[in-house]
Amino acid sequence: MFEGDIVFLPMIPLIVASIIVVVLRGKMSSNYITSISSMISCGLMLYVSYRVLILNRLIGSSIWIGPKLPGVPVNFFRICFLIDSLSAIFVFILGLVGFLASLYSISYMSRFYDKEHIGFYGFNYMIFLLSMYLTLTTRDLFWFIIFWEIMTLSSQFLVSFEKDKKKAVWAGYKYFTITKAGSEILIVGILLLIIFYCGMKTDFLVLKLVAKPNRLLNNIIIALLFIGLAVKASLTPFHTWLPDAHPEAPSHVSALLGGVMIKIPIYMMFRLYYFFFRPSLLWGIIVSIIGIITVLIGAFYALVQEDSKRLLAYSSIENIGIIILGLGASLSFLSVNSSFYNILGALALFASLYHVVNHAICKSLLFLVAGSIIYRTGSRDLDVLGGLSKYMPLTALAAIIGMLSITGIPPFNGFISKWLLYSSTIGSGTPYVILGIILLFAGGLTIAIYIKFYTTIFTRPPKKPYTGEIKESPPTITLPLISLAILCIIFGLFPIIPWHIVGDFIQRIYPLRGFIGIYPGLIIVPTVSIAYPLLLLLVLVSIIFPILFAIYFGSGKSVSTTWASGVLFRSNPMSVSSRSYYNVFRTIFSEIYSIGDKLYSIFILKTSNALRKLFEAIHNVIENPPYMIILFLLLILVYCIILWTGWYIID
Amino acid sequence: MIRILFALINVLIALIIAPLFDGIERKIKARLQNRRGPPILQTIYDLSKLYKKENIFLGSRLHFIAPIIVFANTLIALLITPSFTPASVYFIGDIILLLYLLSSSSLFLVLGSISSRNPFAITGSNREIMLSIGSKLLLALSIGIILWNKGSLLIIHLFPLIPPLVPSSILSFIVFIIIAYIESMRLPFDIPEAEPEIAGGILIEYSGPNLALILHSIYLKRILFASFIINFLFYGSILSTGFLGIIIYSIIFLALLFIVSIAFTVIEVFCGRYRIDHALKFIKNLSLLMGVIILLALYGY
Repeated sequence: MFEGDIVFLPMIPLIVASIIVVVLRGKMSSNYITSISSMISCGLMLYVSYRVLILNRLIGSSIWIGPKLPGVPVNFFRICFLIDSLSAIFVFILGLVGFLASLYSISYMSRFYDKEHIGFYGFNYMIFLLSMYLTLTTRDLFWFIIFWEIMTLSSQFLVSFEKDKKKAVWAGYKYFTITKAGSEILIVGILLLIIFYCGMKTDFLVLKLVAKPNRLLNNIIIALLFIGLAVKASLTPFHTWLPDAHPEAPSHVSALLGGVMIKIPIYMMFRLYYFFFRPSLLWGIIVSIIGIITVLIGAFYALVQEDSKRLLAYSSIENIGIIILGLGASLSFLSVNSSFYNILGALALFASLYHVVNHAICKSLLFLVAGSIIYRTGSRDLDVLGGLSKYMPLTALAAIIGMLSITGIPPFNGFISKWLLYSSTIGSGTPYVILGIILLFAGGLTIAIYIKFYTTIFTRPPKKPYTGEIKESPPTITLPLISLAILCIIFGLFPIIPWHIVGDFIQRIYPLRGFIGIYPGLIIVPTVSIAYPLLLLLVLVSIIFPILFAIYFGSGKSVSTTWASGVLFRSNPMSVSSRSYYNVFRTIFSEIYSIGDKLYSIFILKTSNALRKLFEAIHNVIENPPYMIILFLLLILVYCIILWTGWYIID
Repeated sequence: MIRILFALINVLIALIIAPLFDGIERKIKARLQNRRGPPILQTIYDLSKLYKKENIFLGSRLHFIAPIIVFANTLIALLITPSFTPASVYFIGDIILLLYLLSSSSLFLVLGSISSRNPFAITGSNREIMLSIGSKLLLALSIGIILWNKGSLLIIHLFPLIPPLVPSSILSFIVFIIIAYIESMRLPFDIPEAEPEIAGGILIEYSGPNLALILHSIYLKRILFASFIINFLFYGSILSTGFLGIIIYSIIFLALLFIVSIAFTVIEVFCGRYRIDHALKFIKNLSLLMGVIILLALYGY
């Protein structure tokens, strides 16, 4: 076997097991086969990304899936694969989250044994993992869009997995239609690329090198591709499908959707802006403004949710906004010809990619926490839940670590990526300062969001006592939680590890390594004299001081209970409902919510209505035979013109 | 190493001075209300007594540990802020660390408080978090604009305010004074505590050393914000070379701190408590004003 062929290794278990699962009828066996083969495959993905990121190998290969016919473009039947330093980052998070989510699914899916068809789930789950892997590793834009559609299709089946729930089916439908509309726009953009620039040679390497002289056309193509990707990445005007779709899937699938799948359009955006076209100031500004709007809308809406997974879904939107803001800032700063701004741009790029990794870890951790709660209590309603930290201590510990990292509290991983982004925006002295300031405000909102998430589920007493006995989830559920939580701490304390993951790509764009100092717990730009002991002191104080105090004060304590006017605190009907958290805030800042609702009505409802009218008109035309014939002739004419003018370049 | 030493001296002085200033403020308040008032050292007596008491464990580890983390966060924030001596531990982006430390301390205060499961504590925490979002918005705006005009990410480069004499900086500084007032939990804005209304709110279930830690960190936070105000006005304008120079600097700094503290106390005496929605509306209007200031800054004024 050649070295490049290890790109096929992760595909084999998934393909074999998905066939077995379809044939097999047993519920438990198909669940186990799904989990184990996904785990093997995700482990292999981790190995592949390790070879690329740490051993600095490029892994690429190709496979023929049909005969080589004369006159037919080569890439119709040949799929090329390449894992470079960019796609390896995303393969890494896919492998990591996929591995733990599959481990988690072993006991989690037992909830559905007597309700749903497990084989159907298993098939779609594995095809979903496979299509994500293929989308990330393919080297060809033509095959990218095909795998992209398979990914949408299989994940849509997973979203509406609980067929009896009307809400789930509706969410899956909404998700599929909106993202499908997005991918149509993407296809138009790719077609323009094919027609005007590269012909059927849609290989990434060719696309990178081919000259693109027409600036207007370039911008149109970028706009189309960006909108198409933005729909899937749920950037602001198109974000409305996400909060419906992500919560309805089984929790480990939600973790994959929120942690990995919404990063795949981000991956393509990096390729689009850095490889297919040159970084431009205009697009940098557009992308970062869209990013900051997404951050605000996500944060404000997450604040008022009453459903644990829906809250997390809105928070995903916010974090995608942060990532996109980092991308936009890096584009703007790297397009300017000045080394000061270029360093800031590379820092923003680092922040963006670091946040991709961080968010994948934290968000999947939090979705798995919500799933662990669902597994034991069967509910994700924040009004029903409460007081669970006593019964589920490990889940509570994981939740609090996930919460601290996603809010960016200093020693945890979220802080470093946010810190890098703030330094590059607020430190720039350009109008990007305003975006940085808004981001700081959104950071405050994030803290409020997760205080609501944690306290409503774990500390505040529930309104009604739980019916059954509540205990800690089984080890297959708590093990992924704890390992993700440990990763959160490690990635925060030792930023050198994420640097090894994302650094290769950044070095390709700009040699940043000489300009930053990476210390335990901190990454800085050492342009002023900075002594290493100072930082060490800071870290020591922040870590050791609380521990010493805890030991000192922990010695003499007496145990008591909260006095509550003689009422037992196991449950409390007067407990604060999740709706009344931040109620005042909502009324005071109601303008922002009305803007958000208006955006939805303009961009989704009105557009879909207009489209429906358009298609009704087309339908009326088609039903009329004479028009049909004219249309048919026109189509033939267009086809002939395309052939004559040679737009359709064959290989 | 000298710099670290001075930064540590800052923290140590602040630990003692902070409760002393609270005592002075209590005395002034009492005098203004025609009462005799407690002795000036009363707050120090209170704290030392509380520190000696036994801690009570309410069955929630988070509730028990939170005050320590709040206190540690405040101390680190003091370590990177120049106060009694014009020295601090600094590095690029320390201002962002400072903002996150402040957020982190309010986060843990709220988490610990809600973990006590007391309804009053939950109400108080809810208010605290809304107020802190609002003040975080204003803090980010005002500090951000000053940073923009100064063109640096270092706390010590923020001071003094004036050399780029631009209206947006001065207006932001005025807003910053208001935030310093809000963040120090003084009367129109002590909504999360609200002794007469929700019986101490976030502090209700705390007692002994834990209560002392939280109170101490509130006093320290007051010193932190007040030293920011003083640094904005006078940093670097006082001679501070040599050992004697530093001592003179510290004495002048203390005097200025005293003036700020008196000014805040006098305002506090004449105010009634805001309701939370009034406070938020006040903050919102102020942030709309900040929008105008941003426009000024955008055009270079």
